Amino acid sequence: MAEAGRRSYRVRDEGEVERLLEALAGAFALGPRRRLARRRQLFDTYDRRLLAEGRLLFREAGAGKGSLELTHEEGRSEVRLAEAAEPGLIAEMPPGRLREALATTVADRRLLPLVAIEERGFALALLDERGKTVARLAVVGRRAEAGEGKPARLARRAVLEPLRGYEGESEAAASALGAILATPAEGFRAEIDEALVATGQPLVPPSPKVEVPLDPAEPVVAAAGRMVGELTRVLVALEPGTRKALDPEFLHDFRVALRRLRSLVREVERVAPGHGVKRLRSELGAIAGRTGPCRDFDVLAADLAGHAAEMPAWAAEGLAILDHHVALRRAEAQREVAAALASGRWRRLLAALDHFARRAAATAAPEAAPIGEVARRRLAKAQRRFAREAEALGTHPAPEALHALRITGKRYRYLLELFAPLFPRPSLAPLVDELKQVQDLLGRANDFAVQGEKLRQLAAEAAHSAPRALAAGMAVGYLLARLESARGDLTRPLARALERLAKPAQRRRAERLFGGSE
Amino acid sequence: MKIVAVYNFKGGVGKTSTVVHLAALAARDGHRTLLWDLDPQAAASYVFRVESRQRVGARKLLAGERELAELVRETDWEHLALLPADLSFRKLDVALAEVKRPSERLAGLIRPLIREFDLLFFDCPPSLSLLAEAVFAMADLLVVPLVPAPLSLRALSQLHAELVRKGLGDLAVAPFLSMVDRRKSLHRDSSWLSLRSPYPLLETAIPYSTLVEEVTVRRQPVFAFAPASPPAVAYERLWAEVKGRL
Repeated sequence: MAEAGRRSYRVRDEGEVERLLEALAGAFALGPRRRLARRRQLFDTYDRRLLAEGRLLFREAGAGKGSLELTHEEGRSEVRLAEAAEPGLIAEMPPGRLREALATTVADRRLLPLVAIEERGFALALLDERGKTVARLAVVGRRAEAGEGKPARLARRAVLEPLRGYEGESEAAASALGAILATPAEGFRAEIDEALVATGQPLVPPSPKVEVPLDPAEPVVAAAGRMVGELTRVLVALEPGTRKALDPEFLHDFRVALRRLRSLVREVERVAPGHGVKRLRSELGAIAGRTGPCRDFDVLAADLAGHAAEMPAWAAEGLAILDHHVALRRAEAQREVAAALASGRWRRLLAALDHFARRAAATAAPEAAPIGEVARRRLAKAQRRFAREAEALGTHPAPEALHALRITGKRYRYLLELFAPLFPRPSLAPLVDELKQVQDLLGRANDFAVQGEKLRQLAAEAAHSAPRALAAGMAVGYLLARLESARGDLTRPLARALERLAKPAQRRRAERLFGGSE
Repeated sequence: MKIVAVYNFKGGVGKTSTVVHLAALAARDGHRTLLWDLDPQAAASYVFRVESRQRVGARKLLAGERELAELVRETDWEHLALLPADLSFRKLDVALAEVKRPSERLAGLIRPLIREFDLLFFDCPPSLSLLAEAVFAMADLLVVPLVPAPLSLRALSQLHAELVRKGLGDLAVAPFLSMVDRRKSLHRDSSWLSLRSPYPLLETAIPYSTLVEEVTVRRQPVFAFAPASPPAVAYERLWAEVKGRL
């Protein structure tokens, strides 16, 4: 229950510890030294949503199950469970304040161990003239551990924990420490960042939406090399979570990074063939192909869970059978993902991407036009193609036409995102936003089509193997009807979103930004 | 936040020792614990070496001019904070009598602390007052130490009648035997008390021990200086039983 205002100082050597204890002894009576040994494991979502809010979820091993505490960066405790199991999905946590406090931020993401910090040293109380504890000091050697990596040594620290109601005394202790120690006081966050760096983890979570700064005059191959390098690092960072299925979002982001890379490599192939890019593109496609089914089952499983609450009783039994089949098929698909990422082919692809990135980034001579020029040309063409296909849709578009438009839109969007650093953000944002709305709707329509197909397959499987095939068939029938209805519901919003995108102002904006034709 | 009130309107039954140990054991188990010392004798505050630094005044608190949170002070024990007894709390009864819905007003004082603490223990003054009534209305569990004597049973029966009269008949009440001296025949066989008690007694009995008296000398719970002693073991058991009731 440490109060806000916890201060942590790096300590260089034993001499410094002696000096700081002497300084404190001048102002306080010091309690006896107590041995301190603790290991705290920090949990967060794959994209570190809690850290982004300045909140830390620590699990500390204890005699029983161990405690779980949600604190703020400055040390203020928000919720503490004296005994709690390792956190995972919010839905699996026992009802109560911790679950409530985490639910909005964490949503349906899994809480994963991010880094463990082990501390060994001593603690003592700073006492006033009546022998009352007014602050606590710990001097600890520390090491951090993450995943399967080796423990990394961290800086030794002196940690001053103030006590509520004795703020003046804590300030006095902090002044005494500040006068002795060479480094300024730091908060919890600095300690976490230190542990992340020491265990080889990035301070910013890996995201396929990484933006690589671009110079319009830079040769396109050199710029592409840097972008490929960055996206390859993202793939590598996401790989363990994807392989172990720690959270479906790992696979999602992994596939987004793959798609961006494919898009980028395709562009390089257009303007500067060679460099082995054709091979890279086909290998990226192969990995995308092996990871796609698993993602489809993730989406289907999430949608089935969404349907469960509204399912009529007569279809609920069948839904449970379908859930079971989806889980089986998903597990199969996940094994395929794990096999793909454990293969020599995948390692060779990573090596080839790395090789391309380093060789291309070092390209000095402009082999092709500068990236600014290429980007404008390619974006102008992609925008026109997308607009043309959108106009041709008509009022009752065929599913095939919608699918084709989705693919064209995806390519356009990836180009927009890849080349975004070349354009002023305020000018580009409306184009990206409008396109994103259309793409989301097209994506949902596609999900419904894919899910319809998968549900039919599952129903056929259930008919062969499950004793309750009729129930499964009834659930599939119900779900197909809902999917069809949901697909119908998309028609009007999609038409409106396409209308907005086709507005002359949007076209003029695109023309102003991207200029003439290829 | 769960609220436990330790109460008996008969004095000298080991009430403060009970609340000191239950709160300290809860904190030791990692529960963020607050002890509100409502007894003007301030024995719990004394044991935990916490003194009130400012006189706030009961009326100002109830009027919302001051926050109860300002008065919270951490003890020497990790996870254990205390609202020290303040002489002005003597007037809390009078101040409560002056306001409408006194139970709700007292609950309103505590509301800002609900997210900060997992457990709140009240060390109640030995009186059947408006303040005690307001505490009962908020409490999840009323822990009542009883010295095995006919007058204790009478006091418990009176408490039961009072709770029923005030519409608090559903309040969970957990009486237990305190200061049990095996040399006394009444204490050796207390089955008569169990049979006549309006509430089932907790299984744990706290033995009479000079070690418990030493708590106020050493200003530490007994488990801190005599962890294997009979009273330390008994308080552990009592805490386990109380925790099981929450």
